[in-house]
Amino acid sequence: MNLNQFEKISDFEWRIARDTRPGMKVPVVVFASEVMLRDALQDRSIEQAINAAFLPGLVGTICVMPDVHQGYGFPIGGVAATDYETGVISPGAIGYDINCGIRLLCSNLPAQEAKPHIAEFTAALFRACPSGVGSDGIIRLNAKELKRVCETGSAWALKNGYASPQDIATTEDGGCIDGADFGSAGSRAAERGADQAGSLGAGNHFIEVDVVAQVFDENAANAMGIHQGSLALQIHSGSRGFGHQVCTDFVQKFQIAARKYNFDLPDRELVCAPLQSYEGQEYLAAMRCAANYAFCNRQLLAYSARKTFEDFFSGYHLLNVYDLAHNIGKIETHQIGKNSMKVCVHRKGATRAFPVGHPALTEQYRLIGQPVLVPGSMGTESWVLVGTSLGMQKSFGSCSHGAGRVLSRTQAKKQIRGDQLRTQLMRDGIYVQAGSLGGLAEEAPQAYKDIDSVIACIEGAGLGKRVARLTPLAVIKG
Amino acid sequence: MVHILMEAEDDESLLVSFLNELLYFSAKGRMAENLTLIITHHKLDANISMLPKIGQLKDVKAATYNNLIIDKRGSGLETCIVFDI
Repeated sequence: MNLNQFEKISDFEWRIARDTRPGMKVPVVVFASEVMLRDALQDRSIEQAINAAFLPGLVGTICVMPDVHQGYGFPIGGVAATDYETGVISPGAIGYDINCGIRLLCSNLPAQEAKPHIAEFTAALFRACPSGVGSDGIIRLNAKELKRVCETGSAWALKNGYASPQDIATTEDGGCIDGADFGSAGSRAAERGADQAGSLGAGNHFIEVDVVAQVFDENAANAMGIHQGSLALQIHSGSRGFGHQVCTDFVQKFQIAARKYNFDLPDRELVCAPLQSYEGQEYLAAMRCAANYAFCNRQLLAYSARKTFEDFFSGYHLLNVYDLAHNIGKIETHQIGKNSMKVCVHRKGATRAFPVGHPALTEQYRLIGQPVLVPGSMGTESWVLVGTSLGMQKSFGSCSHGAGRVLSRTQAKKQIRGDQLRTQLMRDGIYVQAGSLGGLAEEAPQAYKDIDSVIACIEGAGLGKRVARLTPLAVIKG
Repeated sequence: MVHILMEAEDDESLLVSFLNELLYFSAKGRMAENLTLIITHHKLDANISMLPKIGQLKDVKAATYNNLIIDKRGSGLETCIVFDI
């Protein structure tokens, strides 16, 4: 692909026509500046978005976010909606880490007061929140309890004293997606999930201690409990081995299903099954189990982080701002042309971003719109936005999920030394606690796009609106 | 010793399936030390001796089908497989 094959709709929207390749079901729209689009054309992400346009039963357009980068089959930063009755569901369009997501908590503690204790506090957080490859979680679940976690999500945490009602109210879908069936997830996922509830994992997962550096929308920030100068905490994790196993199992099962239903797809990672088929419903029920597991996982981590915070900074509190999914398939209603349609929205590396008044939003956010959490790379700023009505029309109410990679992990490790990076971050006033220096190098700021450019594209395209900017003080990597 | 019998619709699927089987054992704290493989007509018969896993540097989520093609090269086969990490 080259730039000539795009129709420029605006400075931040580029369209690839449906007739670009025979077999495409819908056009592709890329939300990016020209510079970012040129960058995106350097890897296979746009090709993957075109491949995604072959999925049967698609409606509207394939949407590509400004933080897009190459994934497996489906690009990371891609959104696809399929007709609820006649469309398909594709595990690869949701991702291996089902309901990988972000949680933001904000305190009433002035960051200036906390700064002298940051190293000690971060070390305490590192001890309290298990991290690293294959790490066991805060709790071990027996089969009965694991089933409850998978079917009720964060409600399990509330019932067992690991959550407050405010935590639940400020989690996407209240921390539980209905329709989860533990039996559909399979015994291997269950085996892997039993030990890992309340663990961060490795890779790009992190806990970050931030200061609210700037507030752009006082009204929205107040509603979220975000105050300039206060200490905040971000948690990035997902469904751990449970979700990986669910996706692995269904990508394999759907190789057969795709043949059975005569789906001709350009990439086998895009395999799918009709949403209303037995196979489609089985995956949906299993995927929801993993999503609920992930909601509960982040809740357990938040519980542990909050306890550490309150022990450390006695008299201050740490309230949940929002917890959201950015690898998920959701049944939602959207306006497609003149029709209101029930669709399955696949978001892979994309965040739901519903606007003011949307019925799915908790009362606290119905008047300001859904908080959208866009973390920057390690060592750079993160953003809090709100969803918009325009985003509802253009991108199925979706927004970016982060900065987006520009270097693969291997490239990053070749170019950056973990020990030097840690020294540099420390020099910049960011305390680092990492499980491995190699893992740290993979997540270096240079490996990611410039977050401010991503946010400018989001605002330029009208997919989100700025509320606040966070600056990192400390980061924990698994 | 672990005995694995597998069947798939093609060799690519068999390979991904087998590697994901090894990843599953790895997630359960066991790694392959020695293995004997017999592959015929998209069927695989493997005997694997396992060792307890001591450590792991990478969290490997899965073996993927990303651009996966198995080519014949001389008397052998060649492929490039992408893992989700």
